[in-house]
Amino acid sequence: MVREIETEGNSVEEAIKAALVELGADRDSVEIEVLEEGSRGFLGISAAKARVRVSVAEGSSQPAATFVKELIDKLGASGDVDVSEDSETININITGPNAGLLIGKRGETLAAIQTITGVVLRKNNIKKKLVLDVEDYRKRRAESLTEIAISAAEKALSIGRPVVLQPMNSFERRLVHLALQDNDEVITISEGEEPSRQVRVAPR
Amino acid sequence: MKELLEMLAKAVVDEPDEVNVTVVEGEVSVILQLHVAPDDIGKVIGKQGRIAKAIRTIVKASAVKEGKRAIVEIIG
Repeated sequence: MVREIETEGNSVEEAIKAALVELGADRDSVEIEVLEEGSRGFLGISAAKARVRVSVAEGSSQPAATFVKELIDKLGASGDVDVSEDSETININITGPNAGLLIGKRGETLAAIQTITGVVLRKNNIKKKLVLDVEDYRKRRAESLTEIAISAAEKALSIGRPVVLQPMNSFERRLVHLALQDNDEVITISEGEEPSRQVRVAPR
Repeated sequence: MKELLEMLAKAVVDEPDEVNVTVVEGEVSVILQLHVAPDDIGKVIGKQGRIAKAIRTIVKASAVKEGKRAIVEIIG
């Protein structure tokens, strides 16, 4: 994807600076074409503005990937950052020896990194959904949550009483609701206050 | 930890040049005072404190690695 803008300034330099600010890019990552050199004129007479066209060639995931890499580095961790994107989603998967540090208790550090990276994306006018994962933690957690949900439903039905699951964050609760939404024999309700909000699985 | 907090704050504010972190080092705790431009306080805190919470979580992860407790204060 290439983003391209044209800007004006009193000098070529000024026009370029304005473009870089607007693109949120640094000078090394852009291509600059001078359209009008501009001139000061004489005592302001016949002064012409300088005009430049600045384009930045990048996948829209680039600001996010750069940010995540720097963050891992500043955390004193090491890891490889693998980025893939389609028309709707940017997927960033981090692999490396410090997975535990980057995931945190119940995935809270991972969720926090995703939150801030999401802000970075929106500041760059990128509206795609971001999914950040460390060593496929989310994927594995999603699989085990589905299993937990199904066995909770079985238990609720066999004892004829509701089963309340451990506290989970919104992302995890959503997965539990989704896993049981097609099960006509139970209903699922989130109850309690964050951070100890829990899903109750009850026989219908 | 200081650099980490500076980086996180700069990523979310409109005026990164105004971001400044001062560190008060205690025996078990480290207090990190985050100064941002007055107009950027909302950006650092976020809706219902979502951004501030995320920043604190990441800084704490870094502190645990160093065997410390970190407290992040946000000052406009």
